[in-house]
Amino acid sequence: MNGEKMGLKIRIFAFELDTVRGPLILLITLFLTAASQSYAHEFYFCYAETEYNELSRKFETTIIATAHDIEKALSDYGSIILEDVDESSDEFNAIEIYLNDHYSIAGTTPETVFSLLGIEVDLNGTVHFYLESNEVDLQSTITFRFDLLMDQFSEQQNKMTFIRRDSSATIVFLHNQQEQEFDISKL
Amino acid sequence: MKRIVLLLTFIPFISLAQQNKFAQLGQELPTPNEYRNAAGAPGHNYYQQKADYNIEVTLDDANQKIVGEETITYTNNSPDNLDYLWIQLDQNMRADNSDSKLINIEKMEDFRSIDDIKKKLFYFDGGFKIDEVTTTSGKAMKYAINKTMLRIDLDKPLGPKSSISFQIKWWYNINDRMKIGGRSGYEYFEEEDNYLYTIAQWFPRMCVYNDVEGWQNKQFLGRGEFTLPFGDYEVSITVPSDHIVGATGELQNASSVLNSTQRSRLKKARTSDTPVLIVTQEEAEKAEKTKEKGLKTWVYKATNVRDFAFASSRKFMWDAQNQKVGSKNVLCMSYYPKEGNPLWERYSTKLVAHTIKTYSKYTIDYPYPVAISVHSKWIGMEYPMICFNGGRPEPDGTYSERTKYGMWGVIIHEVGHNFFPMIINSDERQWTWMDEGLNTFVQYLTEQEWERGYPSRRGPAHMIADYMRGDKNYISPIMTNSESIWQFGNNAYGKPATALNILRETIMGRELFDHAFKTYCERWAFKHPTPADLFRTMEDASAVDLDWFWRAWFFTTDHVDISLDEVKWFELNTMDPKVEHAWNKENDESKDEHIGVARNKTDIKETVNERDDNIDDFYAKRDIYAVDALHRKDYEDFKAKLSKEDLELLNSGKQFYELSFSNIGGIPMPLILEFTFNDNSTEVVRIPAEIWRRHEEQVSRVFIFDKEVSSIRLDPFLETADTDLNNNSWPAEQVQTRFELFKQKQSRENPMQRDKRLKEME
Repeated sequence: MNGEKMGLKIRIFAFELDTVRGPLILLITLFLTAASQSYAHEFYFCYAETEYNELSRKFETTIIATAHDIEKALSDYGSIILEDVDESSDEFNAIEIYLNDHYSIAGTTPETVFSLLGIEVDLNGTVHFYLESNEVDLQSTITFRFDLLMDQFSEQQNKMTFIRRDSSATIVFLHNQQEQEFDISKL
Repeated sequence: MKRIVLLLTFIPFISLAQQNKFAQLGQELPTPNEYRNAAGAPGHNYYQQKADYNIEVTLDDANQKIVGEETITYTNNSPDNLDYLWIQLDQNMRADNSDSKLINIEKMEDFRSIDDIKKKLFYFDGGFKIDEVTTTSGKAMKYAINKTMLRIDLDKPLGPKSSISFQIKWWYNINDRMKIGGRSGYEYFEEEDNYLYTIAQWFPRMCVYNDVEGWQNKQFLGRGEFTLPFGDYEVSITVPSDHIVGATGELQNASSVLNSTQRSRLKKARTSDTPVLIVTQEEAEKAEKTKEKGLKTWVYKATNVRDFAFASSRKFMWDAQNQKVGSKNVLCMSYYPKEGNPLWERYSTKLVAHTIKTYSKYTIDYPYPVAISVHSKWIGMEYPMICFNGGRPEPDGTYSERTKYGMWGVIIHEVGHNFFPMIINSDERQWTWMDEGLNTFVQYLTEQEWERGYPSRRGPAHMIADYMRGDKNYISPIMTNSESIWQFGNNAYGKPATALNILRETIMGRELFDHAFKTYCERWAFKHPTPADLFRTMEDASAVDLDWFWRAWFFTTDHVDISLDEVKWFELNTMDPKVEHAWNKENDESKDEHIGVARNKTDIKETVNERDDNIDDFYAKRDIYAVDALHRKDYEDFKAKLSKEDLELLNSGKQFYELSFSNIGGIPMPLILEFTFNDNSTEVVRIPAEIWRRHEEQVSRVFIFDKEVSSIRLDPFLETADTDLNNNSWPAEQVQTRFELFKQKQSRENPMQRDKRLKEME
């Protein structure tokens, strides 16, 4: 959205997916429900475990979230049941794009892009997403963005553990702190 | 590397630094007094107020409105004069001037679409509309409203042991939960133009006045829930004549609102140990279509409850069964639309019965006559004797396994709330954890008794580790007011539940814990406990000093990370030259050798001393490992000074291991060690957390065995919520990341593809 001094210009968004995967135009027409108060909902927490594999020069990431929340967030793409998503389906591609939109790493050469390798849904309601990046080199400072589900819930807080060379650091992401810079010399 | 211990002289190591982690919690807890004593029990002058309600309410189905009038009789059992009374108006959090709407953090990027903007601008005329507040004779009373709180200013103070009655008339618009959320409201079924109402926080309710807070009149902002006094209710609920109503309490006029078939089925259900349908799906579907005109009034009475809620819909199916608890029969019931099937008809009432029975085992016998589970979409909320629960199959009646477990979990959790806080009536507005944490803990126990290996999301210690590690700036202690908590769910539900589970499984043991926990529940049933009452009772009833545990787990944001830093291996020196010289020789021969020495063995064909006999003297020729007569005599002299037991000990072959530990995370925990021996047998040793008492950061301990140890693992059964398992093993072991584990088991096909192949094969 563009903001101007005299007021806001509002555009209706049409989403286009990456042309490599084929064009898929989506119009947001669904009325998103205020899930934050409709329930004794108490999770509001996603966790990511990310390791930079020095051998392959790739980031290996696991994101853990509440499956129900992710499905609601993905409702723009239709009714998705995570257990039923086939790896070759459009839904799988949509999830990959969605995760890349809400979990990213900047400050690498080239730019980091994640591929979704797999989805596991636990019976206790959590979902694990397994992602692997392209080959990248790290700069001295990298920036993590992890704002998954923050557009759904104002209470959402996320946490990530970054592992490199057998050391780790844990970083917190809040609604007003969706990006965090990290000095890799700390690990 | 093994070393020889020559003497067994013990030198104690005592730190003189001030130790805080094991200090008693005296300063952190309120001083015991006549209302709450040092044992954690109600004091000899404990008091609590009472609020009785007589309410007439109409559910306006045409306009989705509640219209009510109530008479409240408030009894002041305190020793204080009360100049005013405070009453909660929780619906006002949806009013125009509500603070709840103003305190959420927002950014422009939250408004990505037209629908986001529509949601923000959506207007709902919420909040109570108070028509009048009067005495029972109709005289207007002076009152003031501060957002979600109403104050009645009394003409004369209400003295100790006095009562006052007054009346309030009000109405409010019921919220569409699907559109704007809420703990109560309605679900609208557009295709058939029918509503399912789950009504709560629907009447002006008395606040608690007690010795701890005075008036608990903290504003309802949406997160910290409700604090309410006990009392007796008589409620008349007028609804469309084809609605089925479920409510707190017992139905008083079944003959007026139920037909003879329904009454007969209900009677059968009272003695059945399996669910009996009182309204079938066929009957509910018929009611959905016919939409009768006219009204009926359902009358309920409930004794000694802290609140009243009800559900009403023409869509309801209804089933019930009996569950015996002690000498009492509890009627367990479920109300659900057909959209809940097949899950709800199959499981809901059985889950209610199981929950009531199991919670009774761990806390107190369920005292109320009924326990109800009502199904609506996207909800999980609790009231005395009735709760509202989500968990819906797909429209075609299929459901995922996850949906089933989700539905099971929410029913157990919400029915469990009958105990915490409906009966053990803690202050939810102040301490969310006192009901949510305790309830989540017993929920876990109940789930494990429903099905072995039930996939509980909270309870086992290792499941809280991800939350507890990391930046402490954004973690709150459990002992934090409900509105100020970072990571609410983990803080108020998961961590306290985990802490109690650790107490039960590891610190106290099941027997001691269960007795102490039950004592707490029995002491505070139908009363208002505070955290100090729980902490004190658990110690008082068990003789286990837990102040270090409460301090670490409830008052700090420390986490558990104990590392096994070093292992030193020793054997006793037998002093027997035959044994020790042989050991020395073996040890010397196994030492690493310089490359030059190894090469010289082949490159130098013959040294001078190998060629010339005259070069090697006494020193060169002697065998330093040989045992001579003097060695033997010295040994015999040494043995002569020892007793038979000393000699046996010396020759026992005992292995000594000195282990060093660091407490990196801050929380002191027991050291639970699994030793694996060379013969593959194992032994578990448990060292109490008090080992950290004298030195909070580093300790060491010697372990003595008859066999050689091949590996050691700290916290092998994942009992302590240790956030870093990479420093828990000797020899060191790197724990695989979740990604690595996934890659290892990844197959080239997903389960559906595999199933497809299986079907083709068949």
